[in-house]
Parts: sequence; structure tokens; C-alpha cells
Amino acid sequence: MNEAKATACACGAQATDEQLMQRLDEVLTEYQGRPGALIPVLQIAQGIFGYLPEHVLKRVALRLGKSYSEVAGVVGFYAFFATQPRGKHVIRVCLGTACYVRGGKQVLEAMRKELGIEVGQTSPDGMFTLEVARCFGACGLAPAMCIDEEVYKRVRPARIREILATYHQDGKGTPAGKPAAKRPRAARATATAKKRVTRPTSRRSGKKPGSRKGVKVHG
Amino acid sequence: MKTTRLHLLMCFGTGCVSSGAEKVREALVRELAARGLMDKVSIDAMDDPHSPRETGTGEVAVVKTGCNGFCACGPIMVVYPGGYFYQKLAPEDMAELVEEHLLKGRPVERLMFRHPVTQAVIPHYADIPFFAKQNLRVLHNKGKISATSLEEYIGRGGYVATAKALLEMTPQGIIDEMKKSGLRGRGGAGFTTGMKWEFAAKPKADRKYFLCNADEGDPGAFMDRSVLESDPHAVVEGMIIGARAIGASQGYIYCRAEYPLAIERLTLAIEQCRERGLLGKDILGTGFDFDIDIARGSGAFVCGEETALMRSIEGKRGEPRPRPPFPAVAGLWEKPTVLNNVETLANVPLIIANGADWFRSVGTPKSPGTKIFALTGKVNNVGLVEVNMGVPLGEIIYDIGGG
Ligand SMILES: Cc1cc2nc3c(=O)[nH]c(=O)nc-3n(C[C@H](O)[C@H](O)[C@H](O)COP(=O)(O)O)c2cc1C
Ligand code: SF4
Ligand code: FES
Repeated sequence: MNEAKATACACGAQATDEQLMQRLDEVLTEYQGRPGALIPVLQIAQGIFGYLPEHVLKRVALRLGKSYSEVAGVVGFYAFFATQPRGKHVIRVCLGTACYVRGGKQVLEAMRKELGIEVGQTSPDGMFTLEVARCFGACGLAPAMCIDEEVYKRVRPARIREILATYHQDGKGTPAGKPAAKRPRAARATATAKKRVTRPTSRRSGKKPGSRKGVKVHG
Repeated sequence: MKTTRLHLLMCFGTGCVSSGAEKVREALVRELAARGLMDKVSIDAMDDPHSPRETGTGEVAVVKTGCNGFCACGPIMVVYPGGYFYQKLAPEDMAELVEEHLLKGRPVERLMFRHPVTQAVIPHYADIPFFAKQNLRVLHNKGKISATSLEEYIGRGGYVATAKALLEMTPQGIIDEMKKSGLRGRGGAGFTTGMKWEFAAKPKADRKYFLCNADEGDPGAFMDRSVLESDPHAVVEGMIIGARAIGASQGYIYCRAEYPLAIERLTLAIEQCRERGLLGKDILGTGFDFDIDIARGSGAFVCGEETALMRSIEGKRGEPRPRPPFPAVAGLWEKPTVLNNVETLANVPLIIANGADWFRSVGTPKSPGTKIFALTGKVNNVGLVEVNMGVPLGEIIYDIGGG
């Protein structure tokens, strides 16, 4: 998603808050006076700052001629907006209907226990932020979750520790500031625990005749 | 004029990309280059969509299409002439494919689809039961055209309906044809589209809006995503025609942020239309003004519902509000507004171009036309199918889904 790309600055140098505010102001100048500007502006602002701190919301409110409480109310309503800094990796557990009935809730429960945080919070070491997602259309292989841009299918609660461990290992090797999603392929391939969950069926495996139960037709 | 001997249509839908289409394409290009064939190849470069076909002599064309609907078999490539269907491709397979099929003319059986029960090889796209039993109308372009080319969409009859609607028909004429077709909304409520348009056409207002619902909230459903990724212009065209019918000057497509590829292709389609005078001021010289913007969702559960969706475009909390007033009278910014689903809109150009009678020739009298379904869960062929309305569910699951 766009905001993720915008934060994933590859040069590693941190821009100062002042510089970031300057960029926000440019965006605000462009959007000022356009009907329905608030949400696109917040989406871009989150891309610039990584999250939406109070002083950013105040500036947005001021420049778009809205009250702070209206802006905060909108931010609170939409799941994609974060008012706290987010972790190095964002975990999103799917709670779409199909995932929910096939164990998504248990996956989320295990994740909360393992990390010791609630949905929307970030672990104390700054590694993980836990979020829930609606269906992201990685159909069929419920329950599903995403860590950054990697999709995990058929996740079992018992595997969660193993999956998270691969990120801790990778974390050591990755220089700070490097976007997690751009970890080298090789690092991913050695993460055997991940391989097991992301590739439940081998390529060209014979197709097993499925039972009639569990067939879903949507539309 | 270039003569293209071979077309390699590679699926670049969300499913195939996540199963590795990008790597397969890189390997294909590498193998073509290794055999000194690159000067003969034209590559559909998504990076430079404005001149997608300008490289090489174009003897071999590598095209990125939208979702084929058969995501379970991805990555997928279809080779024309012949319509050879290659599936579950890996980068390592490309050397053999280029050498054997492209150079020596011997299709590679190993990479073809096998009948799930008899294990017999089925080389051709059209013979695979999954495709053979379908009636592709809304999805007639899927996997057949580059999803980023306006020219290819036009080449298959695109924007003929727009020209007809704007140049030959009155707004009321469009509404009458839609009512006669009996098309019902595909977004859930099943309201007759022509009636909905008529309600919004009646009130006098300084501004009206025409919206597309691409929020697709149902888990496991990805029909709309597939249409947006493989044939974005069909949706844009449906909106232009609808806007003309009700007299709207501004449109919005509300698309969930979880569909970045759909947003990218819609954005490009809209830009292409602006460049060609199909959107903006004085469309096709008729004096009709209409433009479309995309509103990206922000992850709220209820925004698929129409009043919540409108609040969200306004930049407010996406909470549903009681009706009446109905959106046809007071919708977005309290102006008369129509909201239609993606699949509903993709039917519109077909109805206007081919007529209501053609549309009614399949389906049931109360629900004419076709419907797209997403099969997920325990079927052999997970994917997307389009069948006539009224086809029993069992037939879809056994014959198309492979049981
Ligand atoms: C809770 C709720 C969620 C909905 N989600 C969607 C959706 O994701 N996509 C959609 O097209 N319609 C959805 N609808 C239906 C829309 O409100 C609206 O009826 C539809 O988009 C109209 O388009 P149509 O007439 O072309 O079907 C939803 C309705 C409700 C009540
Ligand atoms: S389709 Fe995928 S993401 Fe959506 S609910 Fe099902 S498993 Fe979860
Ligand atoms: S994405 Fe390739 S068939 Fe669906």
C-alpha cells in the first residue's frame, strides 16, 4: 500500500520532524478546499510520519478548517489509521468470516499471549504491531495472516512462536531502518518454519479429491 | 504493420503474482534473450504503459493480463495461436518452454493441465472443463487483453457502447433499455438497475454523483477484484453511461485499500480516458462533462453499505444512516446519487452495445444475464466462474469446480 512505500525510505537517513511537517504542509496546500479531502490527506500523512501523532492531527484540522475532535473521530473510526508509532513488523490477522470460523480467533488469541499486547498495540521491544484485518482475498486457505507483505496461510496457533522467531533472527542481520518487506529472498528461504506454513502443498502435487463439505460459492 | 506470430499471455492477477508470476516472467525474458530473440519481442511493460508495444519487431508479444479466474493453477500462461494453457509454472520451466514450444513448435505436455480424475492432458484453454462450461460475458476480456491497454479494450469492442449511448441515445433511452434488460444489482440487494437510475434522473439538482462500490466486503469473494484487475475499462465505461443517464458530473470509485493492484489499474484506465477525451469536459464532443476519482478505503467493516460508503467519501466516519431520504434524492453531499456494484457496471456496456434482448437471452426471466461466482474451500478448481443465472449450484461445483 502507498503509505507503506512512502515510509520505507531506502536511504536510511531519518528526516527531521520539521522536514516531515513541511511535506505535510505541501500536501495540505494541494488538498485544501477539495471536497472529501480529509481521508486522502490522513492516508498520505500516515505515509509520511508512519503514524498519526497528535500534532499532525492538529495541523490537519487547522488547515482543513475542521475541529480536532472531528479529525480524531475519523482517525478512530478507520482501522488503517494508527495514533501510536508502529513496530518494525506489522502483523495482521484475518478475521473475515471464513478465517474466523476456521480458527482466526485462536490465532489472534495465541498472538496476543505470545506478544503480551492487545490489538492495535506494539510490543515493548518495538518489533511487532498487532492488528486485525478483513479478508485480503488470499482465498481458501483460512486462517490467514499477514506479516508485512508476506501472507501466511493455514496458520496454526502452535506455530506462532516459531514464525515470530524467524523475524527475531532476521532482525539481527538487518541494518536498522531497512524496510522489513525488502528482506533478501535468501533470508526468507532459510526460515524453515515459515516455509512450512507458507507452502502447505508442494508444486504440482496431485490434487486430492476434496470432501463436499466446506465447498464455498460466493457471489 | 507488425505481424505478431506468437502471443504469450501471462496472468498478472493478484493470485498469480503471489504464486510467483513475476519470477517466471523474468526467467522467460532471460531465456528469450539468451537465444538472441529479444529484438523480435515486444513486451507489455507495465512500467511504461503509455507505449506498451513499441519495442522490438513484435514477432513475439509478452502480455500481462488480469486474473484468469483459475488462481489455483497459477502462475498461468496461455500461448496463442492454439490457446495452449500452461499452469503452475516455475522459472526453471522457461528454458524448456522457449526451446520446445516457441522455437521448435512442440508444446510442452509436462506443464499442461491434467483432468483431475482421468489424468489426461488437456492442452487447450477452451477444452478445460473449468472454462468450457462457463459463459463469459462480463469476463469476456479476462486473460485476453493487456489490462493496461486502452487500445486492446477498444479492439475488442470497448467504448462502442459509450459512443452509442452519448451520440445516438437520449438519457431516458438509456434508462429504458436498462429497464428492459432487467439487470439486477450484483452487490447484494438485487435492485433493478434501470429503476435505480430513473429515480436519480428525475430530481433537478445542480450536481449529481455516480458511484461505484468496489469495497467487496464478503470474505472469500473476489469477483469484483478480478473484474477490476483484468478489465478496468469495462467498469469505467459502465459509469460513463450511467452518469449520462442520470446527469451526473462527478464519479467516485470506492475501492478497498486491500486491492492495490485494482487501484493501480483503475488509476491508469482513468488517465487513459482523460487523455482520449472519454472522461473530462465535453466527452466525444457531445457537451457532456463527467470525471471519475478514486476513493481508497481505510479499513472499516461497514463501508460497503451505501450510506456508510457515501459518508466515507465525504471524509466522515463511515456510519450508515437511516433512509429515507434515499440516495437517489439526497446521497453524497446531499445530492442525487447512484451507487452500483463493480459487476453490475461491467454489464452495462454489454447491454447498451448488444441490446436488452441479447442480455435477456440467458438466465431466468426474473434474473436475466450471467453471474460471477468465486469458488473457494474444498473444491479441486479454486477460482472464478461466470455462468448463466439460474444454473444450479451443484453443476457449478461438480462440472466447473471439479467436485
Ligand atoms: C453491511 C453491508 C455491506 C455491503 N457490502 C457491499 C460490498 O462490499 N459491495 C457491494 O457492491 N455492495 C455491498 N453492499 C450493498 C450496497 O449497500 C449497495 O446495495 C450496492 O452496492 C448497490 O449496487 P447494485 O445495485 O449494483 O447491487 C453492502 C450492504 C450492506 C448492508
Ligand atoms: S478469503 Fe482469505 S483472507 Fe479472506 S477470510 Fe478467507 S482466508 Fe481470510
Ligand atoms: S490471478 Fe492468475 S488466475 Fe487468478
